[in-house]
Amino acid sequence: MIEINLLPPQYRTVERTPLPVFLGLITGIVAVAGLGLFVIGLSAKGRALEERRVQRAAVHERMKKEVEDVRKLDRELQESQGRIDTVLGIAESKVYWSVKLDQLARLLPSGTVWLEGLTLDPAKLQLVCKARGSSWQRFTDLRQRLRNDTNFDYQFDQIPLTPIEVVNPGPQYTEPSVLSFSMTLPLRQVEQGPQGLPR
Amino acid sequence: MPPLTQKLIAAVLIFVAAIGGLGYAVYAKTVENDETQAKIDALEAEISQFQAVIATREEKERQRLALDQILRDLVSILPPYSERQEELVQDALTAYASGAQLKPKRLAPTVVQGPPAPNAAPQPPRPPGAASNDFVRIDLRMGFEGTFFNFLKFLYRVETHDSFLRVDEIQLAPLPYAEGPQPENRELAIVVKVSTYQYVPK
Repeated sequence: MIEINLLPPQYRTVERTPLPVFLGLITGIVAVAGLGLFVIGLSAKGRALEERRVQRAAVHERMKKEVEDVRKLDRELQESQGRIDTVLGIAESKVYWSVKLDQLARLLPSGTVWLEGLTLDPAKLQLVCKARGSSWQRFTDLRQRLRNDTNFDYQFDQIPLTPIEVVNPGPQYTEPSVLSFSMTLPLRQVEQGPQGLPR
Repeated sequence: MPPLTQKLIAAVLIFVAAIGGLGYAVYAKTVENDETQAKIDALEAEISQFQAVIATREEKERQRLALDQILRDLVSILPPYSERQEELVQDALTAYASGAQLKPKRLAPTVVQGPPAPNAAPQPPRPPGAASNDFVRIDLRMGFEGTFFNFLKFLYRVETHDSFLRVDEIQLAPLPYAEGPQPENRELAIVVKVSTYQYVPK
């Protein structure tokens, strides 16, 4: 069936959009527009951040080169310090043996103990001695004399005990038997600091 | 279905799709911005570290100048570099021996490049990074005959030489006994090893 509205247009009922639907539409449009604007804002912020990143990356790159120069300087400083420590180590490693041996000659009891040989190597000073008589007291006396002289002794570690023999010294001596012993004086090593540096 | 309902459904679908798309765009942009911000923060952190390192530059340059000066002063105790250093030291030792009335027996020079031999003691310390290859050690082993006190004179002159000379080894042994001199004047067979260093910056 076909319905025909015969009322004049001004009297006809107009079909309007229901208010809730209209409000819903408006809300939807506002929400979409708001989100759209937010996305635009985020994009703008993103561009600004990217520009800032590029600018900081350029600064970073420039500074990196300067830092490399400073690191090179650090290496040079370390090398210089190493050279200085090496020269100091060389200087500290020198022992004035002329003075040491002169002290030793003065410390030997005159007429009772004499040297038959002397060997110095980087680790120790070794004395080959003979002593008049056959009492071991000669050995302990000499050891004590060397230990008691601080000027002489400070460069040596403790003197170990070594074998002592009573021997026939040979025809050039009037005495039939003498004491023969060697005395080893270990050299005190230069103390090393935590990084191999001298204290 | 009334046309209004159809329109409403269509409009709702369009809004849902638009909001979904925009929501995803917001999420993606936020993640991207956070990543960029994280990169900037990392760069800023490194830049701060770099600034701290760069700030020490002037002080380090001053230190380098000071260390160079100290090194120059210290190195002056060593003999100046010469290709014939070994010969010069040998000549000096021979002159000192002659002055102390020691008779030279033999000369056997050896030159050692680089840091001190491992068995040489006391060792000059070598810290990490030390440029010990800049130093050349020269060893000279010499033999003499003479009395103990003349040997001490020789030794004193060697040790008070203008530039650095170190006595590393000594061997003294009496020569076969002969009638005549008192023990203190007996001749000894003497062997001495002397070393020195040269600074040769590489």
